[in-house]
Amino acid sequence: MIQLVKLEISKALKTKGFFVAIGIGLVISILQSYWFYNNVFTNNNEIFEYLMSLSPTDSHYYDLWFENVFLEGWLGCEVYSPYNNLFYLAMPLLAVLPFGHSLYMEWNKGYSSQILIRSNRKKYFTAKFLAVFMSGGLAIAIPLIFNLIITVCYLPIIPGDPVSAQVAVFNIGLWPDLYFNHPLLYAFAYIALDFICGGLMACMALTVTHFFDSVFAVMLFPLLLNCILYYGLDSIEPASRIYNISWFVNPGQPGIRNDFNAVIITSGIWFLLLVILHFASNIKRDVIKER
Amino acid sequence: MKIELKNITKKIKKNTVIDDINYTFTGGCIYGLAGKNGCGKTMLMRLIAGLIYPTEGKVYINDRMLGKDISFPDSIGILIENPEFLNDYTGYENLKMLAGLQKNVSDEDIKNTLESVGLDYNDKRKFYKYSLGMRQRLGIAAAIMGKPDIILLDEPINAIDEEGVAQIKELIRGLVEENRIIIIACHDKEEMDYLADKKLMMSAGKIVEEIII
Repeated sequence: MIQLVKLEISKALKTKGFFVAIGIGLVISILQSYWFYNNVFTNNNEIFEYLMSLSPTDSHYYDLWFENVFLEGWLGCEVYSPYNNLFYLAMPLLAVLPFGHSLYMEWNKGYSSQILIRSNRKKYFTAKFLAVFMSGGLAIAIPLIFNLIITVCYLPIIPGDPVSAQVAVFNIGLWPDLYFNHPLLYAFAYIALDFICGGLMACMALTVTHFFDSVFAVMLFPLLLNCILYYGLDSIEPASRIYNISWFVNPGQPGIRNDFNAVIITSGIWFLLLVILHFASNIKRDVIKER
Repeated sequence: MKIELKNITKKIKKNTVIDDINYTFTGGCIYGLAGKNGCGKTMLMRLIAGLIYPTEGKVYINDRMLGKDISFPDSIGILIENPEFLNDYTGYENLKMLAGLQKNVSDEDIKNTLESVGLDYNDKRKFYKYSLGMRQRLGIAAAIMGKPDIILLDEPINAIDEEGVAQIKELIRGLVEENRIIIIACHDKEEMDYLADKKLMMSAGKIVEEIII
């Protein structure tokens, strides 16, 4: 079993898709940092210098200025540019690119047979699920970590001022205590959450392997589902946001209201659903090239 | 080594592809499956390998039922339809990955196996650059690597050049052992007569005749 898991993970982390996904994520990451530095950080510093040039009688204006902090500039929380939206909209696709379609390709080419006869169905499908999950999670986490490193190079690791308009999280959000008291832990906690959600999104493609005739349909399914959840379900019932994976993955918490228990329950349900569907659709399936 | 097929029937979307086959394969000889396209040779191989489930009947490998006692035969190598491997790896790397899942297959065994099928283990070309003949040879190598007890070869000499055909034929004949069952499917009558000790004629999913050569 361990050999098979190692093999699948090794395959997953060496695919062109993995490098493409990381590459796209890093490009978004760099562009976002560049944009924020030039358009927000620099402007904010210019405003600061201007305020410092005012006479002491105008010192009451100082209170209008707030220093940019690292969470404000981090891709996960940054709300000034479209890059945060872009990253989280593309998240399902980035997660799937590395290995989400591997079962589809291996099954329909006949390569799965070579693995199955040397192990068994349960081990193969378990190893495949783990590898897809891990590669999907890493495709999301690595750009976020990279961007965090860039951001802390020029922004202080301090919490934002609650009075300012800089904060992304309110007391009804997820982990407000971490956000205001331990902001770096907040970033790490959300990166971990996004790793898990990225893994789940990649596994969504794995689960629908046998339901589509095209590998592109398999790869695009999580993106489509994400859009339906983000725009469709939300417009029908906005109160469902706290249970909506497409909303709570974003550290900027655009849904405003979030709940840790809801995140756990939703993630747990998704995980169970994907595991059950994955095994149910594969364990008794004839290994025949379907397409 | 024994493979027993008991009342095996396989239906796919209302089509009966294997129709109530009863047969026992024993070690020490090469069985040849012959018949027209679509008569069920490949399906029968898939059933024996455990890759597909019979609609009715049972397959026993050494008295253990496939699908119940075991998922797949403990020791089996297959070449069914066009061999496929991972495109971004060399032939050697592909076999090494598969060997990692098997017991007792060393790097030396992999090298020897590649050489025995006429491939160079030092070849740095990735699988996607292989010719059809090279792919077929690699498929045979994967099937015989580790000297499994059951070897299923579906059209093993497809796309292989004349010199290679002679080499592969000798290789297959050299694999015959008391505890090994080799089943091949081949369209070429001459090749079949050379390789097989027993020829099973198939038609419409049934074994209609057994010829001892």
